[in-house]
Amino acid sequence: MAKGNVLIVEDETVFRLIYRGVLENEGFQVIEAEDGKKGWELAKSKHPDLILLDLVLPGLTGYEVLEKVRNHEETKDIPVVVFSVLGESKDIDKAIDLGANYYRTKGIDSPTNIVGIIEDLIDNKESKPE
Amino acid sequence: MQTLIQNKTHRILIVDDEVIITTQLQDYFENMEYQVVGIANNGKEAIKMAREKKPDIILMDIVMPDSDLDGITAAGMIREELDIPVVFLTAYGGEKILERAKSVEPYGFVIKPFQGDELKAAIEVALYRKQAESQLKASEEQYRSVVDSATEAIITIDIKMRIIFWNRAAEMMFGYSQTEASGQHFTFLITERFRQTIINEMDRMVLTEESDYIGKTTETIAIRKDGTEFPMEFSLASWIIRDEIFFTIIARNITERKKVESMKSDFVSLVSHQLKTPVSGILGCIDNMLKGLTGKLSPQQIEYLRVMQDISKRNYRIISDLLNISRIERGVISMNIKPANLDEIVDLAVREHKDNIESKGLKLNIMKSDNHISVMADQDKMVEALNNVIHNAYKFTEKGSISIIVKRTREYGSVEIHDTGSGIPANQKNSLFQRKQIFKGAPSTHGGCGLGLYIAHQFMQLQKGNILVKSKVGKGATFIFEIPLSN
Repeated sequence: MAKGNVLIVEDETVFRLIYRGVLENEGFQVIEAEDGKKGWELAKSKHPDLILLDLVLPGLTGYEVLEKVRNHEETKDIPVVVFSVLGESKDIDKAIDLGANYYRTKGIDSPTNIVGIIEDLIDNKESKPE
Repeated sequence: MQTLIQNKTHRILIVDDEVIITTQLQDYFENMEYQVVGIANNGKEAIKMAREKKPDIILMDIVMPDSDLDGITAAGMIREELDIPVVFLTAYGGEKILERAKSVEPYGFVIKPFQGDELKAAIEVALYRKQAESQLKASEEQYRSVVDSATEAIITIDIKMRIIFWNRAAEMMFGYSQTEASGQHFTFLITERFRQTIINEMDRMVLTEESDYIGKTTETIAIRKDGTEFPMEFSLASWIIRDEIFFTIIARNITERKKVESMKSDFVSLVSHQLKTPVSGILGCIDNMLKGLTGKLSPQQIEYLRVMQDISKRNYRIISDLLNISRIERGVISMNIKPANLDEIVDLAVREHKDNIESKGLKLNIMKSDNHISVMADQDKMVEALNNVIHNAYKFTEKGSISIIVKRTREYGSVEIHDTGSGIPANQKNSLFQRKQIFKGAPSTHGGCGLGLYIAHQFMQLQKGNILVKSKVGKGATFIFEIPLSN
C-alpha cells in the first residue's frame, strides 16, 4: 500500500530523479512538476499529501507557490518541505514565515535523511483532529 | 637694484606731529634698511596715507594736538579697514590713555624717550606677530573651505550631544539649515528605530570615555527634515578645549554603496547556486546508488562510487569555502542572529561527519549539558564553523576519539571539540586562524584549501563569539567555541 502522494516541484532533472528514487523506494507515490506554475496547478488538482518544493524555479518561484498553497482553502493544510541550495538564514526564515513546515538545504547531506521528516509530517497531518 | 631692495624691506609709515622726531625716525629706519613710505602729521593724514601706500607697519604717535583724530582713534579705524599693524609711539600719558590704547589692540608700545634697540625690537616683534597671525588666518580659512566644500557632513556636538556646528554638506544631506540644526540633540538625525541604540552608546562613551564609535565607522539609517530616510555611515572623534569635551561627527550618505553591495551579494548568491547545484546533484545520485536504490552493486562499483563521493564532497566544501571567503572579504555576509538551541546546532554539525568519523574507526563521544542552552547565534554560520573544526579533527586523527562537550559558562554557551590527533605545533598556533595560511606551502594533501579555520574564526567573531585552541604536539587538540547566551 502506498504511504502517500508526494508532489516534487523542482526544475533540475537530477534532483527530481534523486528524490523520486528515494521516495518510491520507501513506498510513496511521486508526481513531478518542473516549474512553479505547473507545481501550483498539480497541488490544486491532485491534492498531494505533501509537497517537496524548490525555491529557485522558473515561472512562479517557490515562495510564490508556497504563498498560493497556504492561501487556498483546499491546499492550505498540505505539509510543505522546502529544499534549496539557498542556505542563508534569511531564505529559511522567509520560507518558514510563509508557512513551510520544514526547510532542508541541498548539500552534502544524504537525500535519504528526508524520509523520516516526510513520514512524520504526513502522519501528523492524518492524526490531526478535525 | 632699487626695486629688489624694496621687495625685501619692510615698508613703514611714520605718524607724528613733531618734525624733529619724524626726521630722526626716518634716518634711523633708512639706516636699518626699512623703507619709509610716508610721514603723516596727524590722524587724518595717517589714514589717507595708509590707504594709499598700504605699509606693512605703522608707527603712530598718540597725542597729536593739531589733529581732530588722535592716534588711538586713527589706529582703530586703520585696524578695522586695512588690518595694518600699529605700534604706538608715545610719551607716558597716564593709565587712562593706556587703557584706551589697549582697546584698539595695538601690536606694541614704545615709550618716549626711547633707545634705538627698543624701537627695533618693538617693530620686529610686531611684524613677526602680524606674519604669524596671517598664517593662522590663512590656515583657518583653508580649514573652513575644506569643511565647507567637503561632501561629508561635518557636525560638532557638545557633551550633551547638542549640535553646535554644522557644515554646508550637512545642510544638504539632512535639509536643516545651521540655525535649525543648532542646539538640537544629534540623534534627531537618526531614524526612530535606531535612535535609542545610538543614544545608549553615546551615553556610554561620555561616561566611560570608550566607545565603539570612536575611530570606527558605524552604519545606521538617518532621517531628513522631509521625513525621508537614507543609509548613513559616520565616524566620531572627541577633542577637548579648555576642559570641555566636544565631538566631531563625519557622516556620509552611503545609498550608492549599499546598492553596489546588494548587487555583489546577489552575484555571490547566483554563483553559489550555479556551482553548488551540480555537485550536490552528483552527491545525491551517488548516495542513492550506494544505498542500493538502483540495484545491487559489486564491491568494485562501491569502491568507485566512494571515491567519487569523496571527491565531490571535497569539491562542495571548496565551493562553500570560497563563497564564504568572498562574502567575508566583500563584507556582504548577512548574519541572522537570534536565540537558538546550542544542542541542536551541535547535532546538525555532527550529523554530517558521523559516518566519516566512525568509518575511520574513531570513537565519537558527545556530552551535552542537561539544561537546554539558548544562545544568540546565526544557526547556519555556527553549524558551518563547527563543521570546519570537526572536519579537521578527524582529518588529522588516525586513532583514538573525537569528543564534543557542550556546556554553559558564565557568559557563554561553549562547545569543546577534542581530538587525539597529531596536535598543533606552538609556532603554528598564532597563525592558525589567519587568512595568510592559504598561501603557505604546497596544496594540502588532506583536501580542502585550508580556509576552514579562518572562516570558522570569522563566523564566530561576526556572532560576537570566539574560538580558542589548546594543543600540544602528540597530545591532540582542543578547539573551544564560545557563543553569547541569549538573555
